[in-house]
Amino acid sequence: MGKTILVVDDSASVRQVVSIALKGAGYDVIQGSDGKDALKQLDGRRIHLIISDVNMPNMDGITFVAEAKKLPAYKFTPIIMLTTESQEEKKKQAQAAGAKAWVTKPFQPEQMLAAVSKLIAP
Amino acid sequence: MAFDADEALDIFITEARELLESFEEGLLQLEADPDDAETINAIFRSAHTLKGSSGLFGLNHLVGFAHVVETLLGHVREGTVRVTPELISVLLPCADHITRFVEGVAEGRPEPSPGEAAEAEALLARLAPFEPGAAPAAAAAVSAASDAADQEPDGPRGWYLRLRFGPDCLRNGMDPLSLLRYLTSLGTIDRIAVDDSALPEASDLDPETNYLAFEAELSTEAPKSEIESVFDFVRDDSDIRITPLDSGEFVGRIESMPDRDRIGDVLQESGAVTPGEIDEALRIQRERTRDSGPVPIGQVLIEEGIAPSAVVEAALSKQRRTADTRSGDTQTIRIDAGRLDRLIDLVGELVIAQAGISVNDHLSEAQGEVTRLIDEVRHSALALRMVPIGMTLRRFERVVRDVCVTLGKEVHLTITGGDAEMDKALVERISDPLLHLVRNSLDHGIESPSDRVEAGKPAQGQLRLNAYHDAGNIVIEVSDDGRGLDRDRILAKAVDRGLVAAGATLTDHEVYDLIFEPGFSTAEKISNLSGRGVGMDVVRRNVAALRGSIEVDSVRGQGATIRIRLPLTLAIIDGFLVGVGGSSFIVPLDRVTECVEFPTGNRDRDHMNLRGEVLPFIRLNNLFGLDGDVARRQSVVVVEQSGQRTGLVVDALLGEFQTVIKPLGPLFSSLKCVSGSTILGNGDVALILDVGPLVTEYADLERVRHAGTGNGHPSRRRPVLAGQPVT
Amino acid sequence: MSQTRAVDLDGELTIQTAAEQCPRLLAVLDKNTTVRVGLTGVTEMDTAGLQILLAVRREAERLGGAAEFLDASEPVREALAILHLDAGLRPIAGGR
Repeated sequence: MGKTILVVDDSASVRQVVSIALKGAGYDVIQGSDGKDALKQLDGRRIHLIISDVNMPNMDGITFVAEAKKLPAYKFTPIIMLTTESQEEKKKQAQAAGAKAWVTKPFQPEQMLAAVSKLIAP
Repeated sequence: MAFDADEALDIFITEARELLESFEEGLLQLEADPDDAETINAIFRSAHTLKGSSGLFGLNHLVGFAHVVETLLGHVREGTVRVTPELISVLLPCADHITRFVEGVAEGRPEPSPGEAAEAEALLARLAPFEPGAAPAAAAAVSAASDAADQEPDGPRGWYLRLRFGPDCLRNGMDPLSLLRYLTSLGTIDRIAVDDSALPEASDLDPETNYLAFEAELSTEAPKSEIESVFDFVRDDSDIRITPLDSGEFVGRIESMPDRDRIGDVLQESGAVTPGEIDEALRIQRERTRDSGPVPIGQVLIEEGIAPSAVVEAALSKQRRTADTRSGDTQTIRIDAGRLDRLIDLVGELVIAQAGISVNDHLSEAQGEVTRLIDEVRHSALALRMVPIGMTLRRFERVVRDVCVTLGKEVHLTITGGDAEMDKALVERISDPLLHLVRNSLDHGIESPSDRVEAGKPAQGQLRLNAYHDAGNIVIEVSDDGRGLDRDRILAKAVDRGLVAAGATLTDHEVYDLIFEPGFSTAEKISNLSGRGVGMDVVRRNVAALRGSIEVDSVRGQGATIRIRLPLTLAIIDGFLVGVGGSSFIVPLDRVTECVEFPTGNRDRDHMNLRGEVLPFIRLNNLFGLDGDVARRQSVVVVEQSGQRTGLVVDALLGEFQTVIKPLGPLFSSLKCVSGSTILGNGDVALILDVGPLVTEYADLERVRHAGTGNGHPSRRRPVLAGQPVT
Repeated sequence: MSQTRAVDLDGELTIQTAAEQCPRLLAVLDKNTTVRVGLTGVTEMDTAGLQILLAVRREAERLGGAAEFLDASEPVREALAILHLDAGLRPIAGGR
């Protein structure tokens, strides 16, 4: 009955750590290894939250967010962008594309959990 | 999970509430009577029962938490752990935590929220050091934690939150309800109200637009910044106001604060307002000033609901008090500076006229009295221009703070001698050179905390500004306990830049003085802070322009002191009148150490024997290219500058003379050895010699000459082209 | 003259579904009609959902009727509890 979160990052270890933390807190997690791969997951199923990295091969995070927001099923889905301090410009682009929340890399799993639980309960 | 339908669960909750109540009562009783075995037993049983029954309902979080509490209380019961106020003050919040969790269960939440889980972990960490045999390190960590808690003291604090979320927040995936849920992980929402007054008629309702606003009272131990951060993601299009429910604590904190100039700093430091809120208030202030004229920032803070008026008032009165202390308790009267200058000018004329009388030597008793009175009038007139230097020095508190933040250094500033007075004009003109020296100390002198610790010094550096009066001068010192000057590096650089001949032997002071040479500042020394296109040479030039001098003391690895010596005033000096050829010159009296007869047989040399020491001398008639007969019996006026003594060969000694300085016109501004002129009693003009440059310039010439490049003559004034042969 | 209608909501009552749920509910309202909204099947509720319920109640009262909320599911109760509202969307006196 947990809510579903899509974690998109090209680093398998980041996906893994985030997934473990989220599952531990009672969320269901699905993963995408880049923007293109993640877009395939957006097949109409209910996804409550998307966490996406910015720099990824095939399709970057900002393009992915913009594409996801075009799909009716996901136009209201909250999106957390994984940014770094030096990516202020990217952060702005991501916000314009529809990702209104962010977590700054590097982050502790607790920080991720805090950001997630501000947006959705498990 | 149909927990709420479960009758057994209702029974459990009722039971848990009772257990918790007696648990808390017991703790409070123990505080009064720590050895009461019966009470200890009772609270142990409460914890034990609670643990057991929660296990039945699969409330694993509660089981785990109660288990730790129960174990610890077991030790208390066996006497291996003593009841202390510290222990009680950790156990009480544990009881609160269990209560909150049980109430959550009552509302249908059998699992802890992330916030509750974090809270439990924090509490368990605080319990750990009480376990018998707990590592002392853990205890230390707890005491450090409780120190930190001292700064955010006395348990939860109440906050009023006004939350107006933007119309688009739902479409952006930002759910206010979720943020409020998260808020409960920081503390307890004591009251909350939904404001649906903005909901339009059903026909106009767009169900995807947010119309709701909320007002809540939150009690939490978290600082305001943490509450604020809950709303980070919606900040841009929402109107979020967080104000303390009880201003009293903040008012108290503001009142006990050290002096501050800016109301924003006061409020921020008190914790009542966050930096982000100050920025927003300033932005609103700018907007409103543009639209409808100036608005005080305090008014903006109150009207925008950023801070309660009581807190703003307290901060304002703190600011006023700070300003009051600065201006001192003495009563003051504002005088137009022009009138003051006119008075001083008149006194100056009086001094000149009176000097004429004494030169003419018709001294009677009455005239002696007039001389004394005029001297007194002069002093009091000058005193009118005198202000304490403290105000200027205290300005650097802020500079030090800001620079430290930028550089990541820790520096404590000590200001002493702030009540030493000096001429107002001087104070204003010394401020910039001082600023440069302070920045320089922070930037280059004081090391980073890690370097300091490595060098065996405290991480926090010390910067000292000290002012004192010394023999008619005011001395201002900027000293730090930093790395000091690197003699070898300075020398190497100076040789590199051609400021010093390679292989020259210089005293420490001579080496340190090199940092004031033009062009000494190198690229690697220039930073954003002390760079600013101003080098130490400009500092020295500015100081020299004020008839002052500057010197450096330094001990490698222990720090450096830069000492600026200035006259108290720019207007009048005590002069020593000398005649050279047909001209008169004034030597500032405070530079004159003695006068001796010029030894015969020295006509062609440029140094003489003064009681066994070599005294170089300057022939003023040569220096200024004065024609005319040289007197048969010349005298030498011995002057001292920065410990360096030089003789000035003159034709006549005419005695002390109170000198009103008339500045030279801009045409002569490049003239180095003359600082001004004065009018003598007989109407003649005398130039005032600037001893500092005179001596250094001469010494430089000498050095070049002695460097063996030939036949430069001290009487020929030449620009000093160090390192180049003078032909 | 006063009549009663019942409507049961199920699935999500969130921003995701607000555009369909809201008109559907409002359509049930009528003059002097008490509408009983069954919430037992609601699996999820967010601010958008809450806003719809508040709007429905206000509109019902404007039409001289009323809206009653019944059988709030656990997710609905949890959401309402945050706002110190009881299962009927009435403020709980004195808070917690």
